[in-house]
Amino acid sequence: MIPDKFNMRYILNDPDVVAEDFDGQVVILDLGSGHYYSLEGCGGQLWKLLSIGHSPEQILKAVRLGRPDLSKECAIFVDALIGRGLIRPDETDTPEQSPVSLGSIETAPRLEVYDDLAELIYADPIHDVDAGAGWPKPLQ
Amino acid sequence: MSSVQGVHLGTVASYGRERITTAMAFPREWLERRDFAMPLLDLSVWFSGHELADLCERRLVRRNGDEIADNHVEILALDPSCAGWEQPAPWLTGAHFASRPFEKAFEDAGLRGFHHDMPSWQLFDPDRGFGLFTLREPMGIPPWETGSPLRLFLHWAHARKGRRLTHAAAVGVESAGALVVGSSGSGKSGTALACLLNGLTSAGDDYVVVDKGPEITAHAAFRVFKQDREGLQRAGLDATDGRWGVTNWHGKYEFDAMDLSANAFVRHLPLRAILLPRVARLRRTRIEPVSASSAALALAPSAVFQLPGDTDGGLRFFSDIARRLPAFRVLLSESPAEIADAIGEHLMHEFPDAR
Repeated sequence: MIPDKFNMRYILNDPDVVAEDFDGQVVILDLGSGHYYSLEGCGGQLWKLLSIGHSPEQILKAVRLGRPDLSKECAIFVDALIGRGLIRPDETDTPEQSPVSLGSIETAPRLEVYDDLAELIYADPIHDVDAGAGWPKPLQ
Repeated sequence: MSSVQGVHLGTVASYGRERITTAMAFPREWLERRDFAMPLLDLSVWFSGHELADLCERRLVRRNGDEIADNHVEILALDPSCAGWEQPAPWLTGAHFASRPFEKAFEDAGLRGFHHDMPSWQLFDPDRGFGLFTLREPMGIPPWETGSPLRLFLHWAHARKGRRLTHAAAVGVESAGALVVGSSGSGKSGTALACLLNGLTSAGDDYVVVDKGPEITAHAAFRVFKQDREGLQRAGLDATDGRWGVTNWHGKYEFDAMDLSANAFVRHLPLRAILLPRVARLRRTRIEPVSASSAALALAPSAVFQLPGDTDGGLRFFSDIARRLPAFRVLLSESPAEIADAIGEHLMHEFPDAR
């Protein structure tokens, strides 16, 4: 059963989320949560296909044809992008209808999550701070 | 007492605007003015007393005499000891706080702002180049700002000109400089100190201003270096001789780089590379190339998240730096002299035109 959300067109969840593509290696900052991410393996390829308007299901269909062994990992990866709010449905447009150009996929996608700076964001500088230590050190 | 009982997300921008408007009209005759001719920036600050003024005198870098600045900013640092100036308003008890809406509220009003619960407010109008530091008492600054006073104002001031105060050290040899980036514990400050003491130059161990023109340049902002006792000992400095004073809020000594090595502390460094140190305790330092995305991951998040306001363009700015400069992982040995030699040799080998 394909979730409805996989049949939608997605866009970057800006302005809170910003991303940069380094020849297929993508770095993403979530300015709202303080989390940041890197897309490893074929994650950058999937990100690019989502960026040009293909729906998750269109992309996963191409993966099932080209690399069926990776289809589960790719579905989990795309679901994580949606679940973490890095992309949001594009309410104004339908999915891109041109064929999905998957290219060659070497390895499974991986979403590396970095939360070491999230405390800078989550720490409420007004209420949660140890006055002796101060922000950005959250209250222990 | 503040005439405002408490500020919340719905009123924070109007409070900031009202305070700035009042401060701009505030009489200056009883205030102490100090002018800081910094690299790229003329800073005029009006203080209520000499203590914070003297701290800024000790910490802020002055530019060389023949240089000019294209950016002028005025700041008032006011507290209730200034007749007619009221206490900074507290955050409304129980009111929700979230950093992103807080930042957006100010930006939508054309302002930048930061609040600390002492309380104090740092407010800035980038269009006017005017800042207000409203404090509970003359030295009521956030405790982590003793080493880098006016840090947020410098960040907002340089952002007006498309430059970024950057959470990084900068080291160099001849005219080949490198940004040194990494999280706490990566060896960033230790690498900068090793270089400063062993024949290389440095423009700062924690923050530098990065200017991204045809050439990418790091400009010094703060004269202070920071190290804990172990770090001083690793660098070959006697941590027990009493000259380091007391530790800061983070357990580190703050000391003037000019006192350690006046010639090695430089105002500007043309940047040719990004270095990502890692404490590895190798016998000899090893330097190996890493990808631009790795450099961006090390550089951008901490620089963007540690300096509120003007965050939206931060990733783009630092990603551009990471694309333009080659990046190297530096697996550190335990010898400061060897680390400095390895970095110096590497930079001269990679960039022979910099001699």
